Amino acid sequence: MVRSDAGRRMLALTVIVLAAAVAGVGCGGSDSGGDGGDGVVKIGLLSATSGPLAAIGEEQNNGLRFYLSQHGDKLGGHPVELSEGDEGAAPNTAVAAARRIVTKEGVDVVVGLTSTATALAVKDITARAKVASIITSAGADELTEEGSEYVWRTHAPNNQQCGLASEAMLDAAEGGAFLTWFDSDTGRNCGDAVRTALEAKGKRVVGTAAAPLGTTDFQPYLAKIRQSKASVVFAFYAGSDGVAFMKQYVEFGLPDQAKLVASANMTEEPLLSATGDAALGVESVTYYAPGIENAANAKFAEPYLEEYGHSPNYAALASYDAAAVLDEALSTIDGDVSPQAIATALGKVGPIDSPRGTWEFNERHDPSQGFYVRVVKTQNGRLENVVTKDLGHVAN
Amino acid sequence: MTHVAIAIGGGQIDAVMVLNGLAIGLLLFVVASGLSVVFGMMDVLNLAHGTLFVLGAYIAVTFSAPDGSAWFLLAVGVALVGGSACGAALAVAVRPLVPRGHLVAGLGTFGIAIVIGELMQSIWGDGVRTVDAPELLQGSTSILGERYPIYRLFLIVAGVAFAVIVYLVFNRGRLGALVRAATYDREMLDALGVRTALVTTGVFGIGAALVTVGGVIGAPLFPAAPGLDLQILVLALVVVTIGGLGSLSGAFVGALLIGQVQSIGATLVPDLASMLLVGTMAVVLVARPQGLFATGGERQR
Repeated sequence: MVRSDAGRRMLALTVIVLAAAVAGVGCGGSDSGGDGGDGVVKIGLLSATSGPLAAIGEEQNNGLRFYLSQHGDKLGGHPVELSEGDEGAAPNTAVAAARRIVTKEGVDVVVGLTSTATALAVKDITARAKVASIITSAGADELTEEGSEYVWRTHAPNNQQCGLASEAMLDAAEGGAFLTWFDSDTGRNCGDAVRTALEAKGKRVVGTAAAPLGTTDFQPYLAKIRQSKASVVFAFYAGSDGVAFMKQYVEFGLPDQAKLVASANMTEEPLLSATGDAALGVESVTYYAPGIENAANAKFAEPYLEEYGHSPNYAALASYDAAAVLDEALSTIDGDVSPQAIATALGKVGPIDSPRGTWEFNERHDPSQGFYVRVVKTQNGRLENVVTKDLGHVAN
Repeated sequence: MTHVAIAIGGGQIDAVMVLNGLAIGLLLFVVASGLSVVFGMMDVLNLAHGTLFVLGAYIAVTFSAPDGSAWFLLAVGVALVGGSACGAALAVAVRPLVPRGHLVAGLGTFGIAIVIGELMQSIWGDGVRTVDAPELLQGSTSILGERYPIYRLFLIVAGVAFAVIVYLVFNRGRLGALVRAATYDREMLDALGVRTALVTTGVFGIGAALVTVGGVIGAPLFPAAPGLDLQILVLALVVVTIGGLGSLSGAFVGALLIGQVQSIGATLVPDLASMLLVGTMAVVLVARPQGLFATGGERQR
């Protein structure tokens, strides 16, 4: 037995501290009963909030926040804490932001990743830290090629979506198709996917052109389209380049010659408003349109429009679904949340009833889902992508 | 309808492409002339030049109206006044840095550019803002068998008018004499009793006003978005490097050359399209390192 005063005080202090610790753990443990609940889950929102892709990054964050606001800021019964990081305009800013939120702030899962370049840089950091990331915008196919348990995506991989754009081109392809994209690996892979799909259906490609990123004057490329006498054009451009392309397509009178099918990012908000009436009649193929009629979308599209003043685009929807996925995954976790627990739980998530329809993860952790052909029309006093054909579920 | 074209290499060059190159080239001349003259006179490379162009674009966005054309004149007027004010302020801010050399002065303008850029983003947001041509200049017309936007024809007319005015002012007017003298030998001009500080501030202001107006008239072609300032700055820098820093005729020839290179080059050598700009600059610099029309009288500092 301890005899001295100091010794007894030391012993008493130690006992008190130990008792408090046990009580604390006990409290945490005993309060969580039933499905999930209790431990706070820290979500890292890593997206471009500055630079040319800032408008998309904003939509990604909005989508997730919107889901939270509809579910009492809880996912799977766990209260949510958000930690935001700015991907910036280049991989090095993204890497710095990723390190901060993963290492310093210790998030349990990362959601976002706007551009492919930054996603490629960041996914190694998060995978090495054994923190799962759910990609809601970056589309390059190679991001999910390993099927890693730490990499998940709620957005369609580029080559699949690009290949499906051909579905909107088939009815106008008698004079041949002209494909144009912004000069980059992403652009080229997309163009190749469209070409493969068209040629598999017996349609000809009569010309291609790759314009450097940042092109503002498309006259030379439009002249090439004219010279090729193509009857349908597929275009894939990013940001303001896409806006300039569509405006000049109309200014130079191309619609008289060829129907324009654009990659879905070009006709989504906010670029759609920027392009204005020049976008009317342009078709695109993707996995969502605000006008889809199902129970989940009834709770999403209109309320989102009321909240943010514009219809949700694919990035908002993909993020909304990321939250839904986490909602289900977290409901299987009791008590404290750990990054590994989330990564494992994501593997057990089943089909999601989403505003886009029902979908689930395939073995590469990309969505296995249905697609729609849409055309830009004026509806309800504004420009909207209206579904003209439901392509149904597409295997991938 | 006659269709004029020549088949070269992998594609066809038609007359409309050349015309288009002229339109872009003349717009570039309006934009780059200020940069060239300011460097020649003050030895300051104004890296805020592109930012002023974007300011002009946002002015156009603010005043733009779906019908009518009056907003266009208003926007140009505001750009003239606003641009001159910014230019004069830049000149005053940068003058103390000039004795410390190109790098410091240039960095000073770059810092100011970043600040103005952030201010613009907080006012106009980070999305893409587009502007339609004023009603009078909307639509397209048939030129040599092809449809061509009327607005670009206006750019050609405006650009030619500008070039003529600049030529007259520079070579026949007193202001032109003052500027040429200040470029050639500023100390001598000082010694003659001319307040060179006023001349340089004034010309800085005019150059800035021009590039801001360039942003207004270029707005229907160049959607305003973050990153546009850097794009325009690079274009202007390439033009003045090719033409020779300080030379207006150089800026004119350089601008027209770049206009054609971008227009025809994309067709002639599509695989090299991303390198056309820098490639042209490299070719010119190898042949004439100081640019095509370098200003004589290199001052020893």
